[in-house]
Amino acid sequence: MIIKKRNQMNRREFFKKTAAGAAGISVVSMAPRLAWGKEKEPIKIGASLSLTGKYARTGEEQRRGYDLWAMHINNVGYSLGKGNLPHKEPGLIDGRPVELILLDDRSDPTTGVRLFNELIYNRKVDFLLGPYSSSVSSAVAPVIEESKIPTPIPMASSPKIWKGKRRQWMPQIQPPASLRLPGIVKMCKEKGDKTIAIIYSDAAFPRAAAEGVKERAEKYGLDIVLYEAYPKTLTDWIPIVSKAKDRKADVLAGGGYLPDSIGIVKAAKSINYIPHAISIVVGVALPDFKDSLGDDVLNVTGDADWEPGVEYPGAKEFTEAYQKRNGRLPEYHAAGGYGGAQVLEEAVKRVGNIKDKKAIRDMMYQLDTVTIFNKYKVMPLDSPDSGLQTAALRLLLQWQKVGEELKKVVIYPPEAATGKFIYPFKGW
Amino acid sequence: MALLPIIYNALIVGIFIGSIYGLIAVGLSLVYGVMRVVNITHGEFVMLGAFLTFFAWNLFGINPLISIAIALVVLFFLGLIIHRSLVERVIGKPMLSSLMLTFGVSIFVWNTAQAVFTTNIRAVSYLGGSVSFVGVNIAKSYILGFGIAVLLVVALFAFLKFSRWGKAIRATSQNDEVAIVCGIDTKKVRTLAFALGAAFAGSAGAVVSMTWFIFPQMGFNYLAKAFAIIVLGGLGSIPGALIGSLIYGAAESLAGQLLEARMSQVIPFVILATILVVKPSGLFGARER
Repeated sequence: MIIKKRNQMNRREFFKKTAAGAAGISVVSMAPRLAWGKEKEPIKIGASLSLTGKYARTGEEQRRGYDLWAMHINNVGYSLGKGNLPHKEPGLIDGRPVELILLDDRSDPTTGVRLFNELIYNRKVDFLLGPYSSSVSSAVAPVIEESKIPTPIPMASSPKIWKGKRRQWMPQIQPPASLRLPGIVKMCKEKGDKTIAIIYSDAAFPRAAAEGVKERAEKYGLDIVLYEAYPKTLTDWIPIVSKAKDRKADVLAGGGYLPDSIGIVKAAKSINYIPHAISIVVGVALPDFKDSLGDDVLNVTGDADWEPGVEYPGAKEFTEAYQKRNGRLPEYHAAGGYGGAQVLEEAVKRVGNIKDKKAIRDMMYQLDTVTIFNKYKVMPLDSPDSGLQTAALRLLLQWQKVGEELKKVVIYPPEAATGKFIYPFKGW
Repeated sequence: MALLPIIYNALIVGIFIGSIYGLIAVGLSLVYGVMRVVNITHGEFVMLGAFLTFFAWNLFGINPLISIAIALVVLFFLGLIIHRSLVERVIGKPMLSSLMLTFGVSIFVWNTAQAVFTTNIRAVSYLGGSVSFVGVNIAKSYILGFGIAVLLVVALFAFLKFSRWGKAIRATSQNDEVAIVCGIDTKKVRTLAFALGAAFAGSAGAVVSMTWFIFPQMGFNYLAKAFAIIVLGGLGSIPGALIGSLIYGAAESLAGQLLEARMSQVIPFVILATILVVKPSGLFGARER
């Protein structure tokens, strides 16, 4: 016979008491969190970005834009210029902070697809943000559509990603590439130019940009003497720029990304080709362009979606905050990243929860707003081009001597111009 | 414009560009010839030479022409250290070991370069203009590249032909076992060859910084071209690398001018494939031992 001693616990009692104790301790330990609402589960937002490879320079800028936005959301509760939205407590909504998961796609569309699958199905993110470049965005589009996660796409300007595709989950933030190099054809035609050479990198966005310039050249009656793509991996632009020279093009337009801009100007100088105007996408707006080429940038034109001086709500504060954090002026890729994330923020805050993804998506497609980056409105959900950007504007810049300094001057559209178009290009 | 002048122009420009590729390919071929190692880090040596020139010019105002010599010396010693500490350990092992090792070093170097130099794209704005040469407008930097390539390759040939160490390199390249029997310290020879290869890549990087643009991942572009060139010319053959680079440069330029720019990267490989079908060991390649 087993005689139970007084004060001795049997196994069942032991487990009961231990479990109760453990529960008690955990409740006590959680009390501060419950009481003060701290350390709430973060809202996971994922993206792949080109942090290495050919687009690393501009992909890194976009990352800084995303980072700054997340910092403002987590510290203040809303981003710059968005203080009028509901749910102002720190965090995106319900006091839940944002946790960014940014992976490196090495500027490679295939890697981008793999990483977006990883973010959606393994990391189980709540929202996505777009990658850098039209090439990667185009590749990941079916993955985003399949996931049914609302995803603003800040840095893809190729309209082909949207036109006729009925994209339901990924609104475009950047002005479409068909609006690239605005005004250059019109202004050159007015100055009396007759011929244009359009050379472009064989990738989605430069192709769309080139098609836009070609359409306008045809519209204004410029004779297109060269319209040719070059491989993305090109390192020497002399052969193709020589073709433009041989065909006596008055205007040289096109390009691809930053390396292309530098390469094209270097090539033109190397063969002493002096057209009346040189107009190149992307790179001209970036400081590296001037740092690499020095005085050779004088009077070269190019475009930008954004400049630090623009008047959009919060843009000036963004410039200051970026400069304080990174020690230099932001570029439009950073502003685009920040602005793209602001569209997600506005949609989430207006809907009021993160559970109803469809409502957030609907809100994104209905919004008619302004971010620090640009105006925002997209084609509605029932349109064949749903998600295509319709409101954002683009500027044409020219490097000019202001006093002793080389500066970018906005020369088009007239309402935003801060200087006059210097014509013709004087050479080197 | 008539076709003939276009072909002439493209051919001359292509030969000049090819000479810069040659500077890179000769080093890669030398290393392969002596130690049967495909040095994936070779592209990174080009990148380091380019950045060295850029910073010497940008921070200290050192003329890029002087930097060519500085890059040559600095990369020589860097090559020496990398060979002694790492590459020598995999000599005689299966080729995959050296391939993986140099691939690993390459990843380490360009990632470190990206962290230190940032992802910014840079260029040395020096010798940007052009001059008329044999009736063709040629970038000054191309002429410089051609001059440096000729100078260094002639110096290398003289070194290999007439100096004691050069003869030792050739002997090791031909048959390392017999070289050992003849009393040659093949370990030192391999180190010297590796360091020379790195020095050539470094000096090519200095030229590239003036000719095109530079960024941390640029090395792979040049490694890919150099590798195609040494296969075309015959693995391990220095004259082969030289001729191969001129063929590659001319094909790239001609295809870009006569056909489409997109074909400029296709045609050299079509030529490569054709030559390999006809002569699998490349133009000047000896049959593998």
